Amino acid sequence: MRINSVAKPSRILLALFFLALSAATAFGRAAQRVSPGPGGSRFALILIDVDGLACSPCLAPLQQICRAVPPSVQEERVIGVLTFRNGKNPDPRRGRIARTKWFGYSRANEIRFPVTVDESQSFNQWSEMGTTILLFDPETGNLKRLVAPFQPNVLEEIVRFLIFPKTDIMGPLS
Amino acid sequence: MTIKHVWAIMILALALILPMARGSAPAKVILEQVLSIGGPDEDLLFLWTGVSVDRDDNVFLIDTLDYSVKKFDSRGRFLKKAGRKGQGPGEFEKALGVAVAEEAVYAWDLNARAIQVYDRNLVYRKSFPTPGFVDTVIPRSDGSLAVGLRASTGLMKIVILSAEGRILREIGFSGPDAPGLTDSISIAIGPAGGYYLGHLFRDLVERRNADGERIWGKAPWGVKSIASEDVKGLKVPTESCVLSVARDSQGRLFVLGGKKAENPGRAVLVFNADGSTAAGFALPEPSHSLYFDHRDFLYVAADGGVTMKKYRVIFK
Repeated sequence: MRINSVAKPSRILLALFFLALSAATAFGRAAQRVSPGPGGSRFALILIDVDGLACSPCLAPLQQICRAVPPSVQEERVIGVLTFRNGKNPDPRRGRIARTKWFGYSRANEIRFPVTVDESQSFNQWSEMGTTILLFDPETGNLKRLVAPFQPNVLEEIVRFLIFPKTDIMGPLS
Repeated sequence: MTIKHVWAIMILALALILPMARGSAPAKVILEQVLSIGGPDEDLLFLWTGVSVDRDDNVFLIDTLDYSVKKFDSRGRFLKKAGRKGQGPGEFEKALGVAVAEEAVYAWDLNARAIQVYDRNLVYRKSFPTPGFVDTVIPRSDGSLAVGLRASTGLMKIVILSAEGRILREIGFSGPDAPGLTDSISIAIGPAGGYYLGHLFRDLVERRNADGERIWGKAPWGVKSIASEDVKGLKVPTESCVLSVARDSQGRLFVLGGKKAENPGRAVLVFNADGSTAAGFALPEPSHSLYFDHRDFLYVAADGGVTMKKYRVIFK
């Protein structure tokens, strides 16, 4: 399904645009690598609920992805989006806390992709469903959302999507 | 007996009771911060889950997000880190707790039936197996360890281990409120070799003697019902009542309230050894645990676990 045919596509694209921009600012070198190459300019956003970092079952899909996607592809075509819930009393420290937690976790797990923090909490409703991947192909404007658990064939398709430009796994936005 | 006599007895009784009642009134508690380690803008702590302090006031913290035990001096300066991800010696999958006793630093993992032993310089020495998954390790004054275990059946029990890991004694819990299949408890050593138990998913704290028999039980928060989920036919509670219990050198029990408390992660109730309420107060920020060192300083989490704060607790 084309992105312009799904509900609220402009909001999603806008959010993706700003997230990519944010990542490019914060992680300039890595984000600049999201550029045409063997896989075109395709990239994946992984939505990571920071509160789930303490929960082993919640982390399993993320670890699956990190094992499946080669480190060089992670660096070039994957951007993590750290999400968090502010609760009743918004706390300006939450974004910084999220980044600090991720720094510790990613360094210990040798995770290579750059991250940005979803300060606007635009993606909370999706990340609350579990680890979520948004695959985005800027050339066609296609967007696909995948929610954990990821079967082995899905992981394989994600890798192929990121590496090979001809791979088409774009079904409807799930 | 005349009416005059009755009045006289009543007045006398009131005169006796009032000062006693005043004496047992809950005290006011003031927390005075004396140390802070880590913070949202520092890469020192990422999600610490356990803390212990040695005789020189060095602070040992175990961090579940980077699979490590970290040592800080009494002023909070980082000294050393040990541990990494894995299942081998000196490695953690889900680092959970740390306890210092004399020269040994004990550390354990949520998913391992073992306790790792380091020296105070955080050099890994050995591991010894445990008859269940370790929840808590509390050093006892005689050098042995009281270990709270989740056995394979899910039942909680306390096992007394020698410092080398030999089983000296097992303590089961009896009675209608004994920890059950879906229960989980926080443990503190009580007075006279007994135990304080805080039931994480029941509105219940208890004092039990050294044989596991109940001395008293309290429902700290007045919870009427707790939500649960059906997992493979088993009703598993999903809302916590108690997050942690800890004891100070006076024998007072400090109970940190969970989701069902009025102020989750912040509300603390203090009970005297006889079960009477000593005080109630709120932590400045939510914490997942309470810990007292040998000087009665209180250690709690802040900033979602990226900060550890140490307080002097003043009763007024």
